Amino acid sequence: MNGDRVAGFERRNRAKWERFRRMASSFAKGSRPPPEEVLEFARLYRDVAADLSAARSLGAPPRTLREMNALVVLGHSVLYRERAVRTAGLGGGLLRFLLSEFPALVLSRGRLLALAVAFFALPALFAYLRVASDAGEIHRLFPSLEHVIRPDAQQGGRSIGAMPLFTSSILANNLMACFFTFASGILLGIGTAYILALNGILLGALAAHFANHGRLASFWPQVLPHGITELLAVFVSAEAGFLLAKALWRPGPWSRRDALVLAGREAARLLLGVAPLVVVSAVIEGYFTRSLEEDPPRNAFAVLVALAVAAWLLRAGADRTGAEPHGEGFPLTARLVP
Amino acid sequence: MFVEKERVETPEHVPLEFEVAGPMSRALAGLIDLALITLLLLVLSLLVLLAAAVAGLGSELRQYALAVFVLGSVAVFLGFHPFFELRRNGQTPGKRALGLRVLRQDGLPVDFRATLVRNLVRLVDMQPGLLYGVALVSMIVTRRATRLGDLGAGTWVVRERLEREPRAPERAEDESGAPHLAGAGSVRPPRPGRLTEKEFEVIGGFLARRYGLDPLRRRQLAGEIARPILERFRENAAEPERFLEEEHARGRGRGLL
Repeated sequence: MNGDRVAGFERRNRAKWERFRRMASSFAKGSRPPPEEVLEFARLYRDVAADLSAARSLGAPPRTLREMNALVVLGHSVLYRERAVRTAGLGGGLLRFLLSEFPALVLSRGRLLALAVAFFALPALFAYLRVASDAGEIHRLFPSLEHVIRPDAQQGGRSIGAMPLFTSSILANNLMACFFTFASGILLGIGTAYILALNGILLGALAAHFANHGRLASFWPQVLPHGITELLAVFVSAEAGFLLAKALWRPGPWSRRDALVLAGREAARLLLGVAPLVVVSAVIEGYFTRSLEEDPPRNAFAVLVALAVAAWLLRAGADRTGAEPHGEGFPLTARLVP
Repeated sequence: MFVEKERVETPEHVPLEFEVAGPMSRALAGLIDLALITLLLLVLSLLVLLAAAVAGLGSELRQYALAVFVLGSVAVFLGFHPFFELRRNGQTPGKRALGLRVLRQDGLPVDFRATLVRNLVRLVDMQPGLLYGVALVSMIVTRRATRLGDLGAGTWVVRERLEREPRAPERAEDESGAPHLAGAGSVRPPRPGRLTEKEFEVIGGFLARRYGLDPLRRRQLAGEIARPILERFRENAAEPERFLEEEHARGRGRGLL
């Protein structure tokens, strides 16, 4: 063994390693280094990384290697840290994202969006036809539903005092539902498709149930004002889930593992836009719908929402500058944090 | 259980070695986090109850307090992990307690998108209920023990050895003592760290699982591992296992910092 060479190597470099360790652990704790120390730190990092290689080929003892490895790992995680999220100016960035980038992103995966709509709409249509042709079918589909929903009952307004709780509960529930719809996409998309179909069947069967009692005209005003944004949120979540699924079914030129990571990064951006949509629809359901007593203004409001959503999506679809190109490379080049 | 190691190459083309965190330590970290989440929710609900009591029953303020509770619990449930993974460079309190850290596949720290995806897919990983059965299956069949959320986010969880303080006095003793002994006689004194890395790992593996071995097989295996090493050192050992123990301790005890 060349123990002497190893010992000499250690003796020569120990002071440098110690200095590097001090700097790295203080930076890791979040202290902001002066500019000249940044350069020194980067230089030291390259040195220490090279020393680790040298130590390996010199055959240094395992514990030395482990500690040097830990040292380089520490430096690596400090040096290549993601730029800290700044809260200043975040509002403006969020607004720009929601107004242009997000709709463009949604439309850039239009096929997956259409797939999501289909997995919802076809079961809805199917359930509508079944229940419309056989009124008893709804009780077989949803045994517990008949007590809750009575189409002939007059819509009694809740006391306005319960609205904050009602709204926040809806928000919480819908947010979890949307995120779960996305997350189940990783099960080859089967989970996502299942959730979509289940909700579609519910809507279709309910619509038919109201129609059977001759009250379909009073069904839509209860559903549509908040339903448009709510469904859009679900569809976009499903689109994000199907992105994951697509990476598994048809990974294209990448390995499935890599395709999934790329899809995940794209899906994360889609999900950023889902949360505001859920908030908007919960507020509509909790406040606006309730304050409009009659059906005609509710319908008018629903049309307004539909137009706004269409304009929002299509305007951004016209210029897709905000959308990221599909083939985002791996972020191998991280930025140096000063 | 053997230690699974993975190498990641830095942009400087230096391979870094990481220990993959196993299901057990991750479950323990998860339990700690779960306890903290529960605690946060308890505190939140106490605050809300207090606010409701002050505002009086049936008042509109009480409704707002309850609404805050509902939104707050969702925020805690969904936001706990992303918050700490971003603020603490991949370490929730539970992971920190067990010396675990979330990294991206290339060894870089987690970023916002990665933590968002891995923690939303957690909703699937934790099925059934909160038992994390899906995650467990995924961790068993994948390289680097990744759960589904890690697969989607391109992350994995590593175990970091807790940093030890410098052990300068011991080393000074080694250095001053070694030359003196080396000149003393024909018998080469045992020098610290004279095992190769490979040997050290093999011995470490044996020592870790020896108590699970059949006694006869244990003796036999110790002999087989020790023989080539003893031959290289030109030494003998009556009890190979004891020899392996000593050499391994020596390799471990020699520090750098």
